[in-house]
Amino acid sequence: MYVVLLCLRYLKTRFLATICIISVMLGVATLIVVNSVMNGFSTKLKDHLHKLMSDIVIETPNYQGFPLDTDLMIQLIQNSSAGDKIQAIAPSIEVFAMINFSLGDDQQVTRAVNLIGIDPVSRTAAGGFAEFLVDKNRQTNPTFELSPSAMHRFLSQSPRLPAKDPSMTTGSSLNLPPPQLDPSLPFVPTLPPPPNPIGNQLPKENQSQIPNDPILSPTLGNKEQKNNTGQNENQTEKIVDQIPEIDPVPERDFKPTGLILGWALGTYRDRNPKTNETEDRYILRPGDRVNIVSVGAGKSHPEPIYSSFVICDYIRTDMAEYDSHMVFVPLDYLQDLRGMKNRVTHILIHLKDYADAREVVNELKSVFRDPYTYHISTWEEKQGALIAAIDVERGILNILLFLIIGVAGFSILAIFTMIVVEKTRDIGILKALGASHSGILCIFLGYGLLLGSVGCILGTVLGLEITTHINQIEHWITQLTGKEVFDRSIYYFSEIPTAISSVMVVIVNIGAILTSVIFSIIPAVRAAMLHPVRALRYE
Amino acid sequence: MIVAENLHKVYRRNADQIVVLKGISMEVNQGEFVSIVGASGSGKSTFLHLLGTLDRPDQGAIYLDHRRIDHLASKERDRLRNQTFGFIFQFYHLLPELTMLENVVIPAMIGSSIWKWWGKRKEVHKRAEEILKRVGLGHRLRHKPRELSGGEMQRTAIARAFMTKPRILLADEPTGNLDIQAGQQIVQLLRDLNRSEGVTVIMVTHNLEIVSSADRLVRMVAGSICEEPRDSQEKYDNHSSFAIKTHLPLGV
Repeated sequence: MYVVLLCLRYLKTRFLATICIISVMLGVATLIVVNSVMNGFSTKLKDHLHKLMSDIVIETPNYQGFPLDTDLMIQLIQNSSAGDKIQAIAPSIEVFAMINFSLGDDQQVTRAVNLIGIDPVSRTAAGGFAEFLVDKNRQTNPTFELSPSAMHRFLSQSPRLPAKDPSMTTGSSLNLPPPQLDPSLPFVPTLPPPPNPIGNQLPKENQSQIPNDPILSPTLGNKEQKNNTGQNENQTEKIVDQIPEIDPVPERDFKPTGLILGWALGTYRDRNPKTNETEDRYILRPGDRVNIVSVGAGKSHPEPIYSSFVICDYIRTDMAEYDSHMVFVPLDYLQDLRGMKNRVTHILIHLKDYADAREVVNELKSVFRDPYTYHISTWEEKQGALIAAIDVERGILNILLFLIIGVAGFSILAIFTMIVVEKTRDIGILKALGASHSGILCIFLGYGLLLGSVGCILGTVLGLEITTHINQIEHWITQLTGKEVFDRSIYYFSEIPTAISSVMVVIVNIGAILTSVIFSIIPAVRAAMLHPVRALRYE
Repeated sequence: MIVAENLHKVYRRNADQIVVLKGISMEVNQGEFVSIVGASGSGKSTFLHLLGTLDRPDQGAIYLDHRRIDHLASKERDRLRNQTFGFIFQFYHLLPELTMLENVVIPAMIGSSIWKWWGKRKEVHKRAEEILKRVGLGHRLRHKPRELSGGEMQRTAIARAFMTKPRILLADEPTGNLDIQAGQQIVQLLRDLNRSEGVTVIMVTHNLEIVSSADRLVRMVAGSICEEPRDSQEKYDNHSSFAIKTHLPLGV
């Protein structure tokens, strides 16, 4: 009992104990904050990856798509034993492409992108699409239709498509309200005339003819176009020669094809010199035109395909990798463009319960037996390397951070040694009064335990507080030092993501308490071994 | 009751040897009040520590009620110190973090496990308060040692030593750090407890007042007992000679 009494009294009265507690507290707080931030990054990344990729992906390396028709594949999946576990299926085409657009003064921008053809409704059902769309209305009703304001912008900026041309009302609701652009975001460059590498080379009189516009008729190079070129036939033919023939697509009503652009493709980050905060600035806005160059699914060899689209919305996942590469277009349109009707390259499957993923993958593998043509994987397997890299990084960081606790441990050792020296006479008194070696040992081990526990409690409170308010703290430090701690232009996160894991907090606490006790063993043993007479005579 | 037989003690530091006790023998009976006097370095305190099992003799033996206690295992020696011996030191040696009451209670705490302690803690506290009142510190129960005078602290140390009802009280110069008046109060207190409780007191001192009130006087010189006056009259007669022989100034 005297052990408890003395531990508590030593805790209250020793200045050195306060230093000890502070060192443990800081160690624990640091570990909790860093782990929570790392966990936040990791969780957000995994969460996004999972959402973006759906639970299970069937993909083929064949650029012409799966050998089987999409409908048949969906039927096979639904009729398989795994069919009951599946919530939604979304076929899609993923193919590499180049996006091209102009910024004023004939400045052409070209970027490599991942062109994804989807049916927005089924893709939304498969998860991880609509909720990332910037246009709030589109989140509930995912579509590639241009919003009235986007359509107005498109029409007002097209030199060949006057905004009030009655012929353009076909196929789209052009009873247009005034453009409603987001006034909060500055639009920096003025949009140039719609880029069209092919169209621009056509004679001006022909450019005014709607059917020649690739955005309205993606079948560039077909015979109709040749006929329409009139007196400049030779020149047109010259261009046509440059474009390999692609499968004809059905005649469409006049209706610009919408495209959903990755946020980072249409914006760039810059620092506001007044507020010193980073903000996104538009390069492209909904209603602007972009050109896509990709590869068609020719039977013998890959063929280039060209088309123009009008941006109808942005997708913003906060994942730089995705936001700077993803471009969504309508699935049927891309199928037509690539000449792969009723074929897709990917099938995304959303499960009712992700716990069944492994089982469903195995069942699907028994349906689609060719593992090369039908590569079936869960999202975690598909992103295995990245997830493993994050876990390894976190593991190494934890080891390094536990060295902080180790440093705190050595400070405990030093402080305890000092305390033992300081309490030498007390130890002698206690021994004279009949305290045993083990009793003295317990006083100092208990003291270490108590200091560790108090340090842990305070450190946990501090760590959780910092984690909870990390964005305010970061903002405060940025204001104070003038140097941004968390550069949002790098991470594409608007806030520092954090995720507090109770298991991690418990492990950190146990680790810190153990360290405190372990490092107090040596001083405690020294105290217990003190000779009572020498201790009493110590000055 | 307690018998020391031919005790030798040598302190060694590297190649140096300091012979502190050179074959001391002594017997103390139950209820006796024995004073040990001698010059600094004569081995008085070492002898007291050996008797109280705080240290082990290099040679010789100590018997308590015919049971040898100097070579007992550590745990048994701890129990003896807690239950049988009570210690009073020159510099009081109170624990500064604890109140007077807690300082007095500590030996009872040391002698009890947690479970036993919860059963008897009220009773122990009551006894501690009674002892403190008896030594005249009933109004200082919650005070810390730093808030008390030297005499008060020494009285608290005596109360602590009496807490576990020891049979033998070992006092190492209890008045050495006090003025004459406070020293006299302490001596009177010890004498009262000796008479009323029947506790044996073995005390190392330079205080001639204590010498006068002791039942028996033992003089140590250079690690040996050199003289034991037989009765009180002889002690008084020898006051001056003690002081001279032990190189002590008179009246200390």
